[in-house]
Amino acid sequence: MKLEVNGISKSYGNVKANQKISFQLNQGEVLAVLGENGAGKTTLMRIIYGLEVADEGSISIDGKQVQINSPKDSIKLGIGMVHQHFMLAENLTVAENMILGTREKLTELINMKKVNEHIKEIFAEYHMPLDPEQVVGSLPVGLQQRVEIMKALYKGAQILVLDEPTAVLTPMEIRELFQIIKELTKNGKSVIFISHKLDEVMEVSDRILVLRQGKVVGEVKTKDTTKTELIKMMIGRELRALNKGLEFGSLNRKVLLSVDKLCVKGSGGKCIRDVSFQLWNYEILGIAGVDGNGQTELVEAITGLRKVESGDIFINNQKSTNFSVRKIRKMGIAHIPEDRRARGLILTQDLVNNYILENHDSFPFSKGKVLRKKAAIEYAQRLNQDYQVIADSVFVKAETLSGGNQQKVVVAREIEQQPDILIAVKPTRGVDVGAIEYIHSCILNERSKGKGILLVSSELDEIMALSDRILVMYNGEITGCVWADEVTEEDLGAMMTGVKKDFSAIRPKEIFKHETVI
Amino acid sequence: MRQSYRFIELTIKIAMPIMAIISAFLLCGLMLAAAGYDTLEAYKAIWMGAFGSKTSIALMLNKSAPFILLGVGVAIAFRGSSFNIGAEGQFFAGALGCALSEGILRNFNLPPWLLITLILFSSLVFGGVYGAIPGYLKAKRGSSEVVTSIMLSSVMILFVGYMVNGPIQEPNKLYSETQEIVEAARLPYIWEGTRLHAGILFAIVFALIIYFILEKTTFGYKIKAAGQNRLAAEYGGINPNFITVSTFIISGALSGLAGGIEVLGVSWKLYLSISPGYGYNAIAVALLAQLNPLVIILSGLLFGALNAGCNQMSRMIGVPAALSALLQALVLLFVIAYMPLQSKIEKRLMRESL
Repeated sequence: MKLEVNGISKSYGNVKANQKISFQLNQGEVLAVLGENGAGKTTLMRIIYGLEVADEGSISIDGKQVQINSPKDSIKLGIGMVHQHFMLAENLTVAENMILGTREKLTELINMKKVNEHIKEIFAEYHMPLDPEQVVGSLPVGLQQRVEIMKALYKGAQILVLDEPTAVLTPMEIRELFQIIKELTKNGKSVIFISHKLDEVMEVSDRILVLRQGKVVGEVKTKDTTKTELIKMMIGRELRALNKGLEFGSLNRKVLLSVDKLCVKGSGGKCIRDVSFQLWNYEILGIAGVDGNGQTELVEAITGLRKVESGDIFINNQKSTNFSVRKIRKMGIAHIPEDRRARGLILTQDLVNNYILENHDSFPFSKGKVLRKKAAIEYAQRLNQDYQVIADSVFVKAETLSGGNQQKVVVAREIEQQPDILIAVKPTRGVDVGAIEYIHSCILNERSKGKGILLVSSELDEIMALSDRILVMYNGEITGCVWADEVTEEDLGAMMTGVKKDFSAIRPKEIFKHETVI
Repeated sequence: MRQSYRFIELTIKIAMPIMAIISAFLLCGLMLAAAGYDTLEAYKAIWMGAFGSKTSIALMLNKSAPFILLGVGVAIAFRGSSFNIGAEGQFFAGALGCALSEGILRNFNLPPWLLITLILFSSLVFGGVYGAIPGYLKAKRGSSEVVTSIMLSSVMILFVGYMVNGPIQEPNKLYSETQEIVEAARLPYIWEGTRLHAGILFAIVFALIIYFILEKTTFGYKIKAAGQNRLAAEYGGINPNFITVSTFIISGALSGLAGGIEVLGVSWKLYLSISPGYGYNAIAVALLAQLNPLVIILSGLLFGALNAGCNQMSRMIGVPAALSALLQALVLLFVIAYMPLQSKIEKRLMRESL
């Protein structure tokens, strides 16, 4: 089956999300759609899948023009989509999920036994280690994704759209996914692979379509291009090299944060057990791990947002276990939270109020109990300028800012607390490349000032590029503590799944060496 | 472009409640006409009843005072994201506190200013304590304040019913009410030749105070932060549970004060029908003013005028006074109906102005 997209345009108000986008997808081909956040990838896919209707342009399949007004139409035409956030009913079984919405008539009866057998056959055909009768909620994320893929195939998909499919997977699962994609194309299916990760795109695709600001800026064969060229197309310029350089040796090193045999109860029966580590000054300590392996609970325990069951936390050698958020912040911790929209910002308030969230109680932002708006406004204006936040003014609501600028507001606010310890959780999530560069440089700058940074991220690239040492968390425990410049991605992957343990880097390098000399 | 967007946003903010009021009057007019009344004449009678003479203006202002106090009380709780819908019960708690303390203090021959201050203070405390209960239950036990506050409201109303039929019934044991308060405890009249009492001053002063607290103080900042994003407030070092309890206490205290003022200013004794449902209508007053204490003064006056005007009208042309309840309910319904419209228009303007 061959898909042709001709001159698709779509605007929201004055924002042109897609402008005259055209491309082809041949049978048995993997086409990667590459672009930054906000480049128009998602809009384009929503149009192809029928979730949005284009303002102009047309779509044809096998040379015949088609009208796609809803997902029902696209599914009938053989287009299937796997969303970044899965569309699965977690309390239903695999088979039940797959047949959802396939009933033709209201009066049709379902024979689950037959369905299960039928689906088992399909799984066998694709070598899927799935049991149709298992409840979806009990499956690991990687397998849930495969249920999504099989669901689309079951509904007759010839063209599969995968939206950021690797975002939630471990390195191991990613490789398995690529294997599945290969198998699919061998069977004559076509795949549209949406991503902003260059390595993956280079590995899995046959051709690459690059979008920027709603327009196609390049269409290349994967084997004829390089990562540098792709970046240039994606952001319109070359990426500045990350300069991590820092003179060691003469530094006066000390422990800023010490976590000792920490146990914390998490949500949904999960917990972290016996976690110990130290964060020193002048270092970035990365915490790697697949989402949901205790990183959130750990950060919340350190910052006072979650109760510690046992064990201790010391900030600058002073015990801070189960102190209030406010006290802990006063002791020298700042925190870029995982989800800026849920915790980091009050979206319905203006930037001024968001900037003073943590220090509205102290001078110059208030005196007595009365706010000093003027000081707050000046402060907000300075931060907007210093941290290159693009906003009409400091009086616009936080929700009107783009994701990258919202994140810059949070980063600016936290760094301006002048903390000894900065805890940055996924500091570049959902942020475009330009802002990523900037936020990374801010974090490195804090390190060179002697701060300790705890960097939590599920993006291995980010962790490996920024960290000095890397802690790996798996299932609520620490399975590794390694040098960022010595460990391989494979080893990290193994530690992230609990297959391997390695504790070779429990202290910063030169101290470690120094002590071993003695 | 941004200027015009801000201007339009403000216009919508003002236009929406006005449209709600107009819509309510239009629909109510149709209903009146369908029931065979002369709509225009009825509305004219309402106007005259509220603004037609010195006496009616005084009456209107007296009716407005509890609406404003209760409205501001509801608003501060709503701002902190606590849906205190039990203002009626807190009103009666305050009224009960007033009756009890007056019963004790009347024998001490205190000067009027001191007597009134002490009595109103006890109303404040009774209302505040009673308001604290749903707040505490929400903060500590996570129980829905919508349920607890309305249930506790019924509890208090029934309790007051028991009290005025038992322990604090008037000496003759004939009527379900307390004995009349001493003259020294009555709120002074502030406009010669009318029965306008000082309650409206209390209402306006407290509306201003709450406005100041919300907009100018760190406490107000915390209330709004916790109200708009509990998680972010907690993350920023604000204790959202403290905000829940404290806003509930303030809300209850203002409602209680309204109860005390009603007894000292209007009824001079406590009985169950001193409130025509002030506490419930206060929610409409607060929402109509979009929870802004200054605007609540206006919406409180509107509701006071509706109440006073409709009472007069029913006496003059025989349309049932229940019309005021109908009008108030319609205003509330239209406010709520227009709310999603308002945010929809705002969102669209936002997108276009970007």
